[in-house]
Amino acid sequence: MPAKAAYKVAKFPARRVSVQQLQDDYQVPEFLAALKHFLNSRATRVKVVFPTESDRFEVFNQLYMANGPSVVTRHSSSWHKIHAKPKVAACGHKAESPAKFDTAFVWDEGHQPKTLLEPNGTYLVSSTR
Amino acid sequence: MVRTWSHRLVECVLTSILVVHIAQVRIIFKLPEHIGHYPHPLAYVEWFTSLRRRDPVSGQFVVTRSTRNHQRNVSVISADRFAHPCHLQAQCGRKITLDWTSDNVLEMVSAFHVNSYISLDTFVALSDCY
Repeated sequence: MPAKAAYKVAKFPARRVSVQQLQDDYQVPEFLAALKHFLNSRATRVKVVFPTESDRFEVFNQLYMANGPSVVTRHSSSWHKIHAKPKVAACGHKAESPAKFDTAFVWDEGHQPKTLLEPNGTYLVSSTR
Repeated sequence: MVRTWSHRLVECVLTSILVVHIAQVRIIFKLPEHIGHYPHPLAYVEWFTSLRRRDPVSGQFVVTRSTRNHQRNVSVISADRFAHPCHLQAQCGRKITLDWTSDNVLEMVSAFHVNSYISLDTFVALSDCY
């Protein structure tokens, strides 16, 4: 029987940042190398466009994951957040906000359920494995 | 019918395939259009070691940071690979360091227990796992 789950991100990204900002604020020194490796592994063309230091990336503060009813209690579906946001310094009356980089279970490559894009931007994930 | 990640994980466990790993999510981002089109958002993640070792007392899985060339093992992955949030608890000795806070503990500790008691579904999914 097909399984369904879903995830979604905000309609608009939280910010657009340079590679240097990513490396500093998100502490990701290997960002470009890791992204190049990802693009190379999925290259379907002879010529692949690789990112450079001058590129800017649209980033999201969190991803929402939907889960079906509990396997134990049968309680209804719920949404879970996975945060990935850097520390934000205090500004005016706004207090400092600490960095939050959540941990998550990740399917191995090829074992994730198949996905369909809904008109409202939600990705439905269905599995027939 | 909507099913949970634990249903899916149990299916995979029954076929003896190691299918989930734990990662810390650093960035969730979109690929700029001039680089190419990808149907899902992407995420830069830092990996933890595989779910293989259990703590003899609590029975919970114990994981550490996965490394490659003495650096954190990192990847860019597609967002459709996220299965479920994961709660890690710092592994402590006889004393708990007072410097640890919820904001810094992931950076300061070397080994973690995978909290299977965080939800019933997580408990079911991990109890007979591997």
